[in-house]
Amino acid sequence: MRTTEEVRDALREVLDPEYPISLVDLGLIRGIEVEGTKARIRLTYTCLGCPATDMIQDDIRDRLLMMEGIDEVEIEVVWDLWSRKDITPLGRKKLREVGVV
Amino acid sequence: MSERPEGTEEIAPARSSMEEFMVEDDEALAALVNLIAVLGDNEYFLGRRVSEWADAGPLLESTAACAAITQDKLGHSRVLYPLLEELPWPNPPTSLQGEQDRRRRYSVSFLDEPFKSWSNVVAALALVGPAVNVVLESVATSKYENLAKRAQRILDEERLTSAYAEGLVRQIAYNERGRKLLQERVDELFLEMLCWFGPEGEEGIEVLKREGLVSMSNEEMRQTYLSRVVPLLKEARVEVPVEWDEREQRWEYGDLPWNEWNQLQRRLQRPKKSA
Repeated sequence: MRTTEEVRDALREVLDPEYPISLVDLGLIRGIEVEGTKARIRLTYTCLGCPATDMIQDDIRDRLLMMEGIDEVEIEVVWDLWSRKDITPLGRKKLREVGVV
Repeated sequence: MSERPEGTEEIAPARSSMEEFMVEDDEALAALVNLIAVLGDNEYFLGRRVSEWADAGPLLESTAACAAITQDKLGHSRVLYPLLEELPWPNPPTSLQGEQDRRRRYSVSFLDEPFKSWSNVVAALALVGPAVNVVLESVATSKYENLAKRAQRILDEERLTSAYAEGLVRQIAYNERGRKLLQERVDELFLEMLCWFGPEGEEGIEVLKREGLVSMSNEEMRQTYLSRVVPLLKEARVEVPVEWDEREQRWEYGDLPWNEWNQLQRRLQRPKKSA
């Protein structure tokens, strides 16, 4: 069975549609569980009016289904608060490189 | 390496709130469905009306702000509407994506028609927005967690819009022409917003309060609202028919037009103005 860390590492390859940083580094991933071959992801967004919500979910699904041992992905949007403080140091570094933050 | 423990149970405790959420009282459930439709529709039509000024504000900055506010408001409606589907209530109001999607509107009548003047935008953001926020505050600790969580998130986003709306009031009232226009809009809207919280002791809200679904009664919400909007209007020299009663420690607003009030749709039934 895949571990949550392996799933998180895979999600580090899924970039936000707007900025070149991963969903993990942007602080959008709020929970990962793996049960057998099913991955459960808890997700929030940077704002409620985010126009890329479906795209982000599709990208998560596409990437995780590429993992051996994962054949189902369940995404729960939890609408947790999000702020710039949720961006990881690596995320902030990458955003600075492109002139954001 | 990450400083914050993202993806842990501390941040997102496992929760399947719908499995836990039950409302035994049908009247409470009906009132809850109505409340969500009212919040969703007012957010939707605020967004829609403001969007029509996203290429026409008096300044480039205010024009851009209209686009941003529209995105927020439509986003708020988009996260509220799905709750109507998940509650165990037959034939709930449908989500709005287009203006004519549903015949029955649960938004204030002030938002019915496209705004003819920038003063409408200012009045709507200064008077409708804060009213919606007061109700959101009342559900932010609701035992219906899916609603509470969304309300908290919306309120977090609204802080910026509220501050911006206050600035718009000061800006438009800075000169006499603008102040007069705002006064006209406030005259059209103010009583509807006072009615919007419903009559004192309204059964639907009382049962929601008893069930722990809202934290404030109608009158508590109305008083909170008045404490928030009246000082700003007075500062802008806009007159409103309310007075602070020092002895009773409450706002007095006289008789409200309840005979024109549509309780279900939370709006005044007003004859359409001829052009």
